[in-house]
Amino acid sequence: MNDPAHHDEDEDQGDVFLDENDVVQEITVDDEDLPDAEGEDDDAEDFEEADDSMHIFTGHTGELYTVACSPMDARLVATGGGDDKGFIWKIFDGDWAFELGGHKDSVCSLDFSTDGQLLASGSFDGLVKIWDASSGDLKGTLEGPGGGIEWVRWHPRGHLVLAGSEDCTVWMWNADRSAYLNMFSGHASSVTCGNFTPDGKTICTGSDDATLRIWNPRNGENIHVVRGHPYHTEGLTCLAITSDSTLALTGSKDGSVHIVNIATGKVVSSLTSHTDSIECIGLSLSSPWAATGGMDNKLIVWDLQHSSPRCTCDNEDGVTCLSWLGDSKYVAAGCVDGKIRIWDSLSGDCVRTFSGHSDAIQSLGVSADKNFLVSGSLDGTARVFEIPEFQ
Amino acid sequence: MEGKRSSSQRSDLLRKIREFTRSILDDLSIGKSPVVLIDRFRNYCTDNTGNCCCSSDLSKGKEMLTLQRECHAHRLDVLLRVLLIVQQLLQENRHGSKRDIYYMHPSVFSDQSVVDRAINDICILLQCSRHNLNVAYPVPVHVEEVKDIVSVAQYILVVEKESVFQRLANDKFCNKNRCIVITGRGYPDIPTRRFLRLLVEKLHLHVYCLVDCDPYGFDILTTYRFGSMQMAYDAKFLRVPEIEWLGAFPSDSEKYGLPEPCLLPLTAEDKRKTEAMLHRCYLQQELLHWRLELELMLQRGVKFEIEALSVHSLSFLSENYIPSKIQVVEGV
Repeated sequence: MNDPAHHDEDEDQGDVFLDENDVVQEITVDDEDLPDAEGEDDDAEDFEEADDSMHIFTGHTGELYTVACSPMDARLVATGGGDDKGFIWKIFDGDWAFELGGHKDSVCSLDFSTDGQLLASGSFDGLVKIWDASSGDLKGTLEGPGGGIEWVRWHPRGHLVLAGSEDCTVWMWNADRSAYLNMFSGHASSVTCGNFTPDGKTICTGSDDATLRIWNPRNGENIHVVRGHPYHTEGLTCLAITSDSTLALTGSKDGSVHIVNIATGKVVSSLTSHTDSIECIGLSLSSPWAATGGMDNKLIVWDLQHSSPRCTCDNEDGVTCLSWLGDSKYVAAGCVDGKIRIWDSLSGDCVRTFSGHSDAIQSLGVSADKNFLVSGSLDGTARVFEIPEFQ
Repeated sequence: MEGKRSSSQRSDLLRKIREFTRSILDDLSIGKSPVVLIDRFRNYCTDNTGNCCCSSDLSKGKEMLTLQRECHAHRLDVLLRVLLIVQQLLQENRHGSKRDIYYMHPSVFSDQSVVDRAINDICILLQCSRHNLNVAYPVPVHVEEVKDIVSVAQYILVVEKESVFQRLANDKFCNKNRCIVITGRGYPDIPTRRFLRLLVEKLHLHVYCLVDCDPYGFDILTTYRFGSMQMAYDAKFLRVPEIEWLGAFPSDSEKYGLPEPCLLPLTAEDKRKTEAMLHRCYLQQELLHWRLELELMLQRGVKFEIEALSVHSLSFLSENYIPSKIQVVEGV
């Protein structure tokens, strides 16, 4: 290379041929110290990081923790987050939004009543507030718990609200009259998940104390406590109840899923394919299947009749939340890397990845007409993705 | 669901914004000064020969902005800031006014006109209209969405001033004469011009324009007919070439016996403006009637307002002047 004769040839042909004599010094370099090669593709990805969303909501000034879609108005969405605020806003109409202010700490849970008229917000400030879903007017504030609210849920039929608290208690109110109805105590730790059964006759709650408790809403009586072997060994994180109100499925930090018969309080089956904490669970509306997502990056679709996994879907990062898309075979997984992956539960294939968020997804919602998937992220935004082809 | 057309239009614009920004970044990353080309448009010039192409909608050349000149660099800085805001408005399906945009960086923007020019430049670069950028008007008019227009009117009357509009309203002019009256309250804004154009397209009615007999009235008339220079790139959607000058003509002062006190002298500024307007290319070959009246105004050195016609009686305008003028025009 230093040979003048070669130099001329180089200029003509552009190729450089090295001889052993050309080597002046050898230096060994550990491959790990070398920076990653930046190919053209990488540049394109970094810059053209596509945003697949059709609408971005930026009203929040902090992380988003919860998203809820109205069951009646396909464009109406509620979001809440670390800025202590809730907002109701409309997809595609960025000029229409109402702030739901008044909470003194993060808004971590939102739920629309079944008739779509009311919205309940639960906050770490220990209060549940009830709002008119179409105007954003505050209808009432429900007090009672001595610690932050973990979740809020409406009764399937009436305007009764249920909430679980960090202070180990569960409360129920009549939202129309802002009247306290019942308190359910018994858990020994934060009540992390809970709901009415679809028939409205029973309440199931899960706690950090690793137990599932089953309650009678009318008199506050604790009917069953599910604990110990073969049940969970660590705190419960999520809960789903079958549409016939007979079975409760619970996920836990211990990576296992158990199916409990609500009437008897007995564990009927256990699903143990996850290798890390389970974060979310959801039941298919059209088949006897359940989907669970966990920090092992897996979304697993279970056949409940055979208590076995149908397919195991590998996301590239932890799955924090999931949602079945209507009564279709598709499940959306919200991940820590900010992406939302759509899985075909029949084939186990990832049919779509929605990009746009720059931080972990915290919550997913599907619009009433099943055309939109709404996501809330730690990046402070909510994004809307069109999903009509997944119906 | 959002209209398919507006949804894909929005995605198109977002893509164009990304591509535009990317091309600038690409240049900068290889140490090259980016060049931004902006088409220039105009509706009139001072060409006397009749060979100018002002009546076409095509651009008349391009302006070149580079970072090598400080004034251009500042203009690009402003343009990119406004572009970022527009991108957010589109992504969030929100609207903001030009004034809202100004207040986002008042120290950089220094004046509303700076923002206005950036918005115009962006419209030209992205080949769209201002409302496509979600930059809203105080009175939003999405004329494309107006569905059915039905009318029993026989003509449309555009008046310059709100005071004249009120006078006609008080006199129940529209009831007695089958017509639609519109005012732009001075130089007409975009929604007014677009709405007028929509009315003309849908109803196929004659349009008459009633302005003060002064240089500004005449300029307003030409804005309706040919478009304004500020919005020259959008002229084909905004101008109403069918509009006719009903009055007030300089020759009307004699015809209708206006007394001396009503006739005000033209100021030096008025005369300058009139002379400049006489050079506009569209007055050279066509609209000779307009040209003659304008020359008469300059010659006589006087101007008067429409209200002067009410000196005889308050209802003179509604009952005599306008109907007789229309008869004359319709007769021809």
